[in-house]
Amino acid sequence: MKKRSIALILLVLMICSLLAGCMKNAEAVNFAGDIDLGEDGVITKEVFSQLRDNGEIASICGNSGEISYKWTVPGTEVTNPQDLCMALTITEKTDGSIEITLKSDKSFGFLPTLSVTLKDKWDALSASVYDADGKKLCAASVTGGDKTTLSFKISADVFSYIIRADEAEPTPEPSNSANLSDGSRTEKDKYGTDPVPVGKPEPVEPDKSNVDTSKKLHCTISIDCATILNNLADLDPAKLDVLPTDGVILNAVTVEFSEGESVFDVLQRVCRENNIHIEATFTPGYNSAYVEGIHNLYEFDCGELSGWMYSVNGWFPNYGCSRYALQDGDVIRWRYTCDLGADVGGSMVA
Amino acid sequence: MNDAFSQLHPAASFAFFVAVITLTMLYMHPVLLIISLAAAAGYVCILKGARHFGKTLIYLVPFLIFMSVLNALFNHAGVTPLFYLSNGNAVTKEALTFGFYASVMLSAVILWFECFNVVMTSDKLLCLFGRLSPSVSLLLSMALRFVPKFGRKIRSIDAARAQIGQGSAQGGFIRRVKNSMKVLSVTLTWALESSLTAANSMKSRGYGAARRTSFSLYRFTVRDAVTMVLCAFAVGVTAACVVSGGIYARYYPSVIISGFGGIPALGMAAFALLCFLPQLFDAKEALVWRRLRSAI
Amino acid sequence: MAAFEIRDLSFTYPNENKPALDNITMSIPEGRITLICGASGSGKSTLLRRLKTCLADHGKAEGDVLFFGKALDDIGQAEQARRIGFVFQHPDDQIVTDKVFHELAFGPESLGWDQARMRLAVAEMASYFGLDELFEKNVAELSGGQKQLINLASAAVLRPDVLILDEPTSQLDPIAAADFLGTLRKMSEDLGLTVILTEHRLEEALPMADMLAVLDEGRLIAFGEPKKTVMQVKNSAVFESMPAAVQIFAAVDGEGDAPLTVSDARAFIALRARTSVKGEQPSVETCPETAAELKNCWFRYEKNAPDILRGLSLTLHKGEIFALLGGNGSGKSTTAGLLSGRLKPYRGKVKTNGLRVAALPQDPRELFVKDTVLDELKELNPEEASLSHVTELLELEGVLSRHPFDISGGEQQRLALGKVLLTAPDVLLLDEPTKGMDGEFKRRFGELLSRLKAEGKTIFLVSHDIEFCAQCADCCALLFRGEIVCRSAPRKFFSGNFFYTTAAARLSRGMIENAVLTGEVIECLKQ
Repeated sequence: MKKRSIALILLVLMICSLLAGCMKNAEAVNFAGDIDLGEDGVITKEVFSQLRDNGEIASICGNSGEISYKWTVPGTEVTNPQDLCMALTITEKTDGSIEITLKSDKSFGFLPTLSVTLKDKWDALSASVYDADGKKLCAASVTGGDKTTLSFKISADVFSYIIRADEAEPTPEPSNSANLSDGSRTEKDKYGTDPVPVGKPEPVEPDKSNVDTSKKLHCTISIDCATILNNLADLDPAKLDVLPTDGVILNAVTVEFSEGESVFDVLQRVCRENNIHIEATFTPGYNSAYVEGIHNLYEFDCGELSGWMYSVNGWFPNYGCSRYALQDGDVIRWRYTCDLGADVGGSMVA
Repeated sequence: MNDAFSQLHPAASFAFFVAVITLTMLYMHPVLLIISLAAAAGYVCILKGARHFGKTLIYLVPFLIFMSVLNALFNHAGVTPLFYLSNGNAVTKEALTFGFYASVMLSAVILWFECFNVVMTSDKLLCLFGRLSPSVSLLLSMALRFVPKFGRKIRSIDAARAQIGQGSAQGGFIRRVKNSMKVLSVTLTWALESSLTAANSMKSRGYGAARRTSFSLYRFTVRDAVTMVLCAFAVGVTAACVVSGGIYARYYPSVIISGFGGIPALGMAAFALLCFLPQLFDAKEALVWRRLRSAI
Repeated sequence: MAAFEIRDLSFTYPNENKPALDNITMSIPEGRITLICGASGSGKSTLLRRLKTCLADHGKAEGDVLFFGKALDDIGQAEQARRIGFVFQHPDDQIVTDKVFHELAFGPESLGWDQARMRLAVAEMASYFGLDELFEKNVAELSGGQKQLINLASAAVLRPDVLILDEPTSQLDPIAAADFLGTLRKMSEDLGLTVILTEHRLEEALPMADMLAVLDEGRLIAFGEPKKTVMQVKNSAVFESMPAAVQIFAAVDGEGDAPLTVSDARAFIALRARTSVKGEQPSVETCPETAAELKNCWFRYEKNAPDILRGLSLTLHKGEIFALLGGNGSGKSTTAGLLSGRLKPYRGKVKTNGLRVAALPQDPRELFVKDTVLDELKELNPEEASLSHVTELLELEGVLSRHPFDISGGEQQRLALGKVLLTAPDVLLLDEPTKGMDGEFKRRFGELLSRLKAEGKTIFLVSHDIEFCAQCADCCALLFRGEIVCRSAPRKFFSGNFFYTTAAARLSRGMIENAVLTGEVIECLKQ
């Protein structure tokens, strides 16, 4: 009896020490909330110190006329707290481009993400950011419903930016026109899919599609979650750790695929190659994989209406990603929505 | 079993178990879980013997492993993929870790409930409920008497009827069903009959003649009050540490476990005090005994 | 002052013409034990129930019942509940809760006593009855005698002025019954408690009673001191239930007060028995053919439980009435279980030679499923001839159209036996068949067994009832700790035993040899 209990205590101690060894004294990231830029647009050193010390993310909000903007500042990136003027002047030019100028030309010492919300809807799928000299710096995420939001990470020592809508990408010629919807189907199919709009590809059942590995085709794929930047308060605080501060998980890349492969096949492969986490389950009811989470950002992580959606050439298919057979030149965008698609241009409600 | 703690007033014991089990389930912090598991295991050993605990381990350990694996197979969140399954989903370190601690939590809770069943006898529960409502307590007590009695009577009637070839295990299927129905019908008649006597016996002893009270075997003493205050104190300190963020555990998307330093240590000590309260009681008692013996 | 003053009390059940109680006037003295006896159906229970308003049956009642000079109906329920304690016949059915202490506390709880008062009352009762060991036990673990003791204690815990007991020992074995009555007597003596008691087994109850009331068909035919009163009812049906001493005294026309105890009776017999008369030698005529046999049987209920039977060997001869006697837990019912095939020995053999063995349950009602006695018998699809034969044999003609639950206990017993007989068994197993039967029913049941024996049935009887076994059995055996320690013809069996024997044998030992039955003693004395 005594020997047994001693053995037991030893066992427990062993487990305890083992576990203690595994633990790391890390701090979780918190959301500090919205901080309004005052009249002068200055954020004090104390605020930054606090962000840094607590490892918090803050949204710093301000506006220029009718255009509002928001800085997403991760405290972990603040190395040298100082008083900073973060106010902007934003003007909408006649050619449709947006000009952004920082009021102060003092370098921040860190690179926050800037989200600019325009006063109305912008008619573009994607946009690029240029410096005053017209040099392209990076892409800007286009999100939002009635009011378009443009998000990008600022570059070091650039104090003036111009955002222009990208040229509309030419929709690739469909190589298999037989698969396009002619509007003849008016009923839901057996997986509950409503009729596909005329001219858009009909779903191809993954178990029936033939993958021809000899035919190598190309497509472009990107993954972003910029919508979360505007809804940080709703985000599960635990997920702040994995949130890319500029909302981009994967910049647009062109990848090779075999004829007959689906959007899901490509997504899975690209994620594996880039070490991006993904979780998907096959849903027999829709005969397709359902993507629950990418980069550990899961559906419902940012409000009840949040989750992953995909678009191909700007169209959000009304069926699962395993049933979308890719064509050469397709542009796939996986986007995280916080509002059932309304904020990424693919409203499911409609 | 000679356990000082289980001699406490039911309210004190109940408060203890509620506190321990709730905290164990609420805060999935590894240190708290391990403390809870160790204390529960120790208390099971005291109440039921180490031999019994050894038997419990036989199913508890596989359960622990099984739960961790199961969680990892069905939950793929987490930033550290270990390997990929054929469906493309990753088995992550985070899911394994969470599964492990979830099973530690469940094991601890199971062990606590095992202790609960030994300590909180039906009398004690009745005493507790009796305080809330004497009629509920009576109802429970009557049910506890009647249900086994009903079972015994069914067997007795079945045996009696088997003697005239009408038992529930005699004849073909339909015959058996019919016979069983008859056995049940006789039992119901008997139940009605005997409940008439029971009703008379209750009336005769004043049932319904006045507002009921509830007899309690147990007395609430200073000891019980002290125990409850200790429990409340420990819960308060632990909860304060958790709420203030001192004790923090998160498993997804990455494992973050905090709690090393002054304040968290205080919370953990408070939790340990709570969990090991029964052992402390026993230890104190043992010490007193030893002193008494040496005084003789 | 009288505890109860009953004046011209009559009572008629609804839909009945004959009154159940007919103009009863009696005064029950305070602080005394009043025994009420009478044959089954004489109205004993009906009378007792009229002494507590909440238990009184519905029907037409006339006359008054005064409780300590005050009309009973004017006394509130709570006061009646406290001052009048009531113990019923079935030990098991009247227990309401699952634990002994809770049962004791039931009355105080109902009357809303506070914790301190309850605690004291319960503690007091438990100590007085010596229930410390049982206090936290589950009632299901208790024996019948213990249960009835709990019932007595939980009635007494309210500190009543009067205790009323309705055949409290009818379901108990003789030892538990004697214990129970002993406790009751001690209580009455210690506390000056008024006790009103009905009993059918008068051997022990009569000597302790201060007053005896005899009921016959609802009328009070005698009331007074027992030793005088018993002689007034010499010719009524209830006299068959009287103790052997009283019966012998009456039969030989004794004068003066009747002897109620063994010592009084022995003194009387010593006076009368001029010569030491030798009773007739038992005639042993056993049929050599074996009906059933247990060979070296060992049995226990669970693997780790103690053995109930330890190498029991027993032979049942064809056409005999075999009585198995023994104390509680000696394995009597288990032996019957082995014979019926319900239980299997883990060692040893049970041989029934292809004969059909059927057991009659202790509670005959366990077999009843229909609305009338006739349907009940027809449930087994008997042939017309055997149906009428059984009906006649068991004297059930008169009750064929009645509901099985409405007929008397003796008739229920016969009906159940009828059902068993319709399955044409060769060997009948009877477990405590005379439990709760009064003297007359017992005699008729004994006669019935003789008739069955005449038809060639073999009867195996398990019983505590020594008198009954002495009267009816061809062969008696004593079971002790799972073994048969003694087996012989009843005369030899009982005259040889010192303690475990009939009242008549105890009364006449040393004066009349070999006398076992009351009738034999009487005959010898008359010579």
